[in-house]
Parts: sequence; structure tokens; C-alpha cells
Amino acid sequence: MEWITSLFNGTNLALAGAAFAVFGAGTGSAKGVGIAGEAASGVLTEDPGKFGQTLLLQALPGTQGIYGLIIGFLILIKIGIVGGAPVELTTVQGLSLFVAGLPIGVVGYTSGIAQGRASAACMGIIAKRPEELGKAMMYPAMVETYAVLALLASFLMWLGIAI
Amino acid sequence: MSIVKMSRLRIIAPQNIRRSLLSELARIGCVEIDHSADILADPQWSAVLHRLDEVGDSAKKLTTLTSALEALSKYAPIKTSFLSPRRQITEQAFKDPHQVEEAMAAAEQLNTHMRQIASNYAEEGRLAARKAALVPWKSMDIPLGTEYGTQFKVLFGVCPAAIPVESILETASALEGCSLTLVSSDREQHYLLLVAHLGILDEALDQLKARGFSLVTFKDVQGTAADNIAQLDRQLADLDRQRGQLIGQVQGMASQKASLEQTLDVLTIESHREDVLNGLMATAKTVYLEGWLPSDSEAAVAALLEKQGCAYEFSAPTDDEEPPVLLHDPVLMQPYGMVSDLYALPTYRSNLDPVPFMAPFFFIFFGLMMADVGYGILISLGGYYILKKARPQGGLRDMAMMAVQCGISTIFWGVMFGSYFGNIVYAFSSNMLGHPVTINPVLFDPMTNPIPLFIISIVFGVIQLFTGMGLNAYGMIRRGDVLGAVYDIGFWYLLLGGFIVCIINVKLGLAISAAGALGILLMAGRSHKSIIRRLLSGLGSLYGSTSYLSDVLSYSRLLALSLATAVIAQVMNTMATLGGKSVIGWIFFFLIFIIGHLFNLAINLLGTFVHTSRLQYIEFFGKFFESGGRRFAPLYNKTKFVEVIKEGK
Repeated sequence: MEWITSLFNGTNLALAGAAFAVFGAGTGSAKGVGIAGEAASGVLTEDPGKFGQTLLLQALPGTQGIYGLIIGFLILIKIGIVGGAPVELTTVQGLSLFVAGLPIGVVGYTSGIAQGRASAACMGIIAKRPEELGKAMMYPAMVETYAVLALLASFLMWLGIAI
Repeated sequence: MSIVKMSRLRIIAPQNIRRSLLSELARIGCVEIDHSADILADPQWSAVLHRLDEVGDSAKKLTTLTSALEALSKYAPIKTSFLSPRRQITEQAFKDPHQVEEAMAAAEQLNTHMRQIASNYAEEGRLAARKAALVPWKSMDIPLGTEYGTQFKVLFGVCPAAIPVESILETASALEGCSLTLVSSDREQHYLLLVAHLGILDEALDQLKARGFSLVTFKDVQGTAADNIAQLDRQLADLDRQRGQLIGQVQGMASQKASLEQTLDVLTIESHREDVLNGLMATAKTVYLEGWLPSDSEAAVAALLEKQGCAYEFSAPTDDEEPPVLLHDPVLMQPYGMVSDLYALPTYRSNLDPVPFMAPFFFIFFGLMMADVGYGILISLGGYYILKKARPQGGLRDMAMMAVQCGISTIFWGVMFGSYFGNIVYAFSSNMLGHPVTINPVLFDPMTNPIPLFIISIVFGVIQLFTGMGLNAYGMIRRGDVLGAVYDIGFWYLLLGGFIVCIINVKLGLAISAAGALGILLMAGRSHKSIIRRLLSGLGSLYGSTSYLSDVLSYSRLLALSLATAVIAQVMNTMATLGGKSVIGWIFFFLIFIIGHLFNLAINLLGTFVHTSRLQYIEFFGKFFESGGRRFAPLYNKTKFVEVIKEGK
């Protein structure tokens, strides 16, 4: 049983939390940006002049990955892996930090994909009515709200966990 | 600070001044002409009027100019940054007819060169195809297309590469008086020379064709293939040289670009004016124009019309007319009109300009989400630089002016929260210098103490929502529905305001809320006669209070995005100072510092703009905004490439 205890020690659990936040949100963003990029290249074959506008729309689902990285980094800073001496964590502390990584990890994944799809659909607006970029940006931005809320939840958890 | 009051304008003008009248109206730029086609439905009008058929050649000239400019950008591209300002010229130089003529001649010449280049390419393609057909026969030293006496015939043929050439050669060698030689082979075909006695020719061809052989003929070709190829090569070289000269001539006209662009502007205006004229109603001697103008420019327009000798009248819009919408705001707030334009224009009848109410919130929220002194300085300077360097117009100008302002708000909140490129002062001094220095925030640091910022966010949210509801009530009162404003807005103020009072006094707050809730329950369904349906409808309205909760909580994004900026900045600083106090460490520091913070700035500018706008659109405008107005589109001299300086101003 000793290997289980050493495997699931506090530091490893916290690391898993950081990894999960970065992994989930990053994967969501990667998929979302990819979906939007596929649609963008379709628009560009007709009119290469719309590169800037489509790039802006494509960038929108990219923020989840950054939010995930923020939480991941914050966890790493808190346990001293980055910029300091590593701290000894209890299993409970480690588990708490793991849980703190969950909101942005899960919501980042799902919202990244959903936002990518919204962005891809809005590429049609850019194709036909490029002057409506502002409106086209709002639909994907509605999805992002939930990633922002998840980031907030993860951050507040991270802040509240005493090491 | 409002939606500009509009007047209807009707003009009857002599036919012969129609063009100069339109250009004078465009010069003062405050009259919109609409196409008054529907008056033709009135038999009294249609008895005297017909639709004006203005024939002009500006559209055709525009095509010429556009293709000439395309030619220049293809063969003589001049690299211009989007920040280079438009060339400034005087009104007189802009309209100089001589200049237009010159530019049109240059454009014609450019297009002629381009046609010559195109036919040059076509000729090259034709020659290249002929050459390709001859190349396989190059090694053969007998002339093509020559008769060799009366007994023999010399023929050329091919067979597909997939057929083993030996079998065909054997077939031929088995025949008496027939010789087949393999000249060359490529990936697709074998090229064969057939020499046959006339007596056996038909039979030989039958047998060979059965094996996949087919004849090829050379039309109008004399001499050997090699001779012909050499001649074609000379012709191709000639063509290439001619094309080089033509392209050189096109490139030599690169200096004409500015003049062409100026003329493009002149003709675009003219063609637009012809479009307007085309829809007008006219009698034999007069034209009839209808349109809109801001009521306060009636005097200026009247003076102009007097001078031109037109009959005119101004009238207030009638109830079934929908005047176009023009917003007039103080200079500082005017760029924020771009944000509300992205959403929609308010209706003329609502008489409620959202810009002055939205602008302060946008200003504050933008700064709150970025909240960094360093970034604020960069944003302001960036906006200022664009304004000075490019002298932009339209959307870019609004953006730049907004950037200057929002940068200041960003600096303010950065000082409040002690953020200067994140925590660069502390990170740099402790890791690179060894003496930690900290700049204390004026208020608090949201990174360690986020709850106060959460509260600030929610308070701003409540203020904005209450403002939105207030504007809605104002609209209802203006329409005369005072009781509706009390029932639909007043009771909600009580209900929501009560919760705020709870912070000070729970009992009093709850009592206020309960009064509000009771009012909503009783009055929200006042359109229903049945008491039960009325109460049910009231209950439904009360359930809508959850939407106010989600609206308020939506403002927590102010905190979240503020944190996102600060945390990424801090992460960048941590990475930048990892190198420590060595030479490499310093180089590393500057690299990561510059790249990292530019990245963070770009990402957060996008996020901040989108989310600040969203709070205005969904949470704020959703409360009161009546969208659906049509933009006021006056005749004015819109130029893309040059900036015309008005004289006498």
C-alpha cells in the first residue's frame, strides 16, 4: 500500500490539478481554434483580403487555453515548483488544489469547442457582410462567458486554499 | 447629446443646374436625398413627372481606372503601410478637369499595355504548344512535310507508351517494302517514322493501326524538326523581350499612381451623384428632389438653394415618415458611437441616444479589465500615434480616439491596483538586482485580495443596470405611460433596491423588497382581465428576477478579466527573470519581457474589447434600447485616397 500513498502524495495531486487545467482548457481551445480555422480558410479562398477579420474570429476560442495556463501556473507557483522552493503538501491540500483545477479544465474544454463552432458559423457573416465584424464577434463571446466564470471559480478556490 | 432632429426637404430645381446643385449640397454634406419613386403612384404627380434617366460615363471610366491601378499594383507595387495618411490636396486641385483627362489618358495607355501583355502571353502559349509537339522529333534529320518521290511515302506516327514498341517494330519488319523506325520515346508515347512502298502502304497501316499505331501530321511545317524548334525558340525569345519592354513601360508609369487614385476618388463621387440623379423625378425643365436634413442646418441649406434659384420647403416629419438617425455627441464621447453602431442604431422616435450613457461605463470597464499602468501607457500612445501619423477617418479614427481615452482609464486602475507591467518592479528588483522593491497599490492588490474587486464589479453592475432601467422608464414617461413606468420599472427598483438596503438594515430592506414584489405580482399582468391570469402573469414576472441575478453576476467578468491580465503579466515576469543576474539572463529578460507583454497586451485587448462591449450590449442595452433606426447618409464627397482641404474654412 505504500506505493499508493507515495503516488497520491499532495504534490503529485496538485501537479495533476495543474496538468488537468492546462490539458482540458488547452485541448478545448486547440479544437475550437482548429474548427474556426477550417471555416476561415474557406472564406479566404474567395477573398484573401479578409485575413485580418477571420484571424480575429479564429483567435476568440483561444482564450480558454490561456485561462487554463493561468490556473496551471498559479498552482505551480503555490506549490513552489516555479519560482521558489517546493513545498511539502498534505494529501488533502494536494487534493484541494486538484479540485481547483477542475472548473477551468472541464469548462475550458467544452466551451472552447462550442466557441470554436460559433466562431466557425460566424465566418459566414464575414464572408457576406464583412462590415458586421462587431456583431460576428459577439456570438462566440457569449460562449466565453462561461469560461470566464470557470476561471473565476478556479481562481477563488486557488486563493482560498492555504498551504 | 441626442438624436438630431430632422426636417423633410423638398426642392424643385431647374434641370440644367442639377449636377452643380448636387455637388454644392455634397460640399456642405448635410443633406440626404432619397428616391421619391412612390409619388409616381399618385396619378396627379405621375401626370407631370417622369423618372430622370441620367446617362454618364463615370461608371465606365471607373472600370478603366480600376484595371489600370490593378496593373500598377501587379507590376509596380509600392509598399504602403496602412498607417500612411491620405495625401492632402486643395479643393481646386481635386476638381481640376485637366488632371482627370491626363489620368484617364494614362489609364487608357496602361490598359493598352496590359492588353498587349495578355496577347503576348497568349502567343507564347501557342508557340510553346507547337514547340512541344516538335520536340520528340528533334533527333530526326529529315525534313517534315516533304514528298519523297512517287514510289514511297514517309509518314510519322505515335503509339501509346504502354504498348511494347518491339512488337510494332516486328510487325513492320515482317512486311516487305516497309520500314518503321523508333525516333524517340517519352512517358506517354513512342514516336515512330514509317517509310512504306505505296503498294503495301494500306495493308501496313491496317496492321499497324490494329496494334495501336496512329498517324500524326504536321501542318505548314517545312524543314527538320530541329530547324523549326530553333526558329520557335527565336520567336519565343522575341516575345519574352517584347513583354519585358511592355512591363518596363508599365513600371515606368508607376509615378502616375497618385494621380490615378485621385481621379478614382473624383469619379467615384461623380458616379455616386449620377446614381442619385438617376432615381429622381423630373419634368421637362425641372427636377424634383426629396430628402432629409438636420433641422439646425436649414438656414445654411436655404441660403444655398436661394443662390441656386431653387424652390424649396422644409417640413417636420409626419407620423408615417421614418426619418434617418444621426447621433450628435460631445467630442469626447463621440468615438464610443462606434461601439453602439456595432450593435444597432436607436429608432428616431425613441429619441434616446445611448452613447452618452454608455461611454462612461465603457471607459471605466475597459480600464478595470486591463488595469495596468504599463499597458495603459502603450494603449494611449498607440492610439495617439495612429491619430497623428495616419490622420484616419471613420472607424479607425474612433478606435484610436477610444484607445487614447481607455488607456488613461487603464493607467488609473493600474495605479489603484499597483500593477506596472504586472509585478515587474518587484520581480525585476528581487531577481535581477537583489533588493526587492514593491510599489504598493493605492486601493488593494486583486491578486492577493480579490473580494473587494468582486464587490466593486457588482456595484458597477448594479449602477449600470439601474441606469438602463431608468432610461427605459424615461422612454415610457416620454410616451405618456407614467403609470407603466411606475409599475414596470418602479416596483423593480423597490424589489432590487431593497436587497441593497439589506446590507445596512435587513428588516427595512426586506420590507422594501416585499413591497416591490407585491406590486409586481399585482400589476405586471394588468393587461389581463381575469384576476387569476393576472396573478399568474405577475408570478411569471417575479420569476424574471432570476435574470437580474444573472445580469448582476455577469459583471464578475470585470474581476476575472482583470485577474487574467495581471496573472499572465506576472507569469511573463516570472519567466523573464528566471535567467538571473548573468549577461545571458539580461538578454533573456529583455526578450521575454518584450515578447511576453506584447502577447499579453494583444490577447487582453481583444478580450477586454469584446467583453466590455458585451456588457453594454446584453446587460445594458437589453434594458432599454429600441433598435432599428436607419443611418443618416448625407451626400458628401467621400474620398478614399486623398484628403480634400476645403478652402475658405
